[in-house]
Amino acid sequence: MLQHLADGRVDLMMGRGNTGPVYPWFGQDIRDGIPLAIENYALLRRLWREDVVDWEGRFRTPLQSFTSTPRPLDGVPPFVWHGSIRSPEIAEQAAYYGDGFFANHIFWPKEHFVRLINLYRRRFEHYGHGAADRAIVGLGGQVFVRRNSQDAVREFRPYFDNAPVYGHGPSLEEFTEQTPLTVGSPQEVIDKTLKFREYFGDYQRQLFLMDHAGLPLKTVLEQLDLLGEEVVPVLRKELDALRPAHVPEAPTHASLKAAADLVTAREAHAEEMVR
Amino acid sequence: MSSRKLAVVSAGLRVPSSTRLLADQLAAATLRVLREQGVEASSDVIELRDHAHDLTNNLLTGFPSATLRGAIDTVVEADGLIVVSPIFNASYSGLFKTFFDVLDAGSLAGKPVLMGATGGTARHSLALEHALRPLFAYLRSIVAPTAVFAASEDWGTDGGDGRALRERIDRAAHELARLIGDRHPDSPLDPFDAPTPFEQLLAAR
Repeated sequence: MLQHLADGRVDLMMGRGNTGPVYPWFGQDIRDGIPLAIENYALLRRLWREDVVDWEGRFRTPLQSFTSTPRPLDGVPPFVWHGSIRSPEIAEQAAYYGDGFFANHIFWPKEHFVRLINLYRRRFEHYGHGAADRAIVGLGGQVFVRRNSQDAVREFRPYFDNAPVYGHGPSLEEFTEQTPLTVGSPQEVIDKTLKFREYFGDYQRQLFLMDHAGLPLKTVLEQLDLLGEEVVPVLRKELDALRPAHVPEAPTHASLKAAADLVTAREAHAEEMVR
Repeated sequence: MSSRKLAVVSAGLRVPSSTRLLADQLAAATLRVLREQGVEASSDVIELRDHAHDLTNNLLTGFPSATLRGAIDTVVEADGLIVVSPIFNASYSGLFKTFFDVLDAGSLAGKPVLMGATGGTARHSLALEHALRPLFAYLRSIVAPTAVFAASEDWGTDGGDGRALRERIDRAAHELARLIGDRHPDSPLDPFDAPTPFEQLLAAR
């Protein structure tokens, strides 16, 4: 439905929820997290791609002659990202289907995410979706930015020190060194973000966490302005210039539709030839 | 035979520390026994005090700092492990437990371990059996039958000559050396190098 309302401007990103209390809200058990992700997505893919589905699985009642509506816009399901902090199974899932892989990135050091992303790229190639460096990778990141670096550090430190995820633990300086967190000027954010491709290869999407650590709304809105005005345009330009020609853009509704139309046209043509 | 590596984990807090002293004596005895058996061996000591902040940070953030990562790798990759904690309130110290709490599940499975503990009086000695031994049983380590407790009197006070402690250290060292000698280290499959193929994940349901 959202895909229709948004005229195709929808990607779906899936994450499993990483704390125990989340699962019982949906009547589930966290120990089934991976099997649930695998079964549910396998079903979702069929519901999108087959008009009438007969299905039976472990986690929900069977479906008989079931049609999910509305059907995907133009018959093209949204592009899917599988998000993960630590599970190799999710990288494997993304690679198997040739979907995008989104590495959370923000909570753990890059050494871990290098292994996770390399696994996804290697398996993407293994499953025949194209060379490893053409796999579709997204990364998280988190920043606090002010025009002046010292102002950014001074203003953000009390929020950092008391933040739910990393508060009362490592110092701001330690966490900045170990994770993608950047606290500083627009240029510092740009410099650090441009380094990511050196570890992970050329990638397609960079997500920034901006509303974090309990920042007030007004500050978050200022952050969005600074990011949009001074950081993102430079990053787009620089990353486009650095990305080799053979590395694809992340798919959009238009490109997925064009690819589907091409397949249909080829099939029609082949049929014509047979006749 | 290739050279064997011992990792020695000491949770002593002071300098000098009787916990570290016991750890060093256990390590020296084990290395001596191994060398007598013609086994080349070396040891690395991890002082948990040096990692106290990083251990707390690891609990909070879920990942170790690079320095703590190095210490964890030393322990996980060792052929044998000597662990020594002071006894606090009838159990291992919180710092000692925290180190083992941040290891990945299964890290110490099959690992030969020699346990030691220190305390003010010998009344605390059974903490080794009711606190440390169940911990390493849970971690599926292979624990030497002899655990070594050193109380104040073992260090030469109260008219003691320390012989009883030395004999116990020696017995424990022989046991650990045998466990290390018997060990055929298997390298567990790395899920990032050898993932479960997706067809298998799909079929598992």
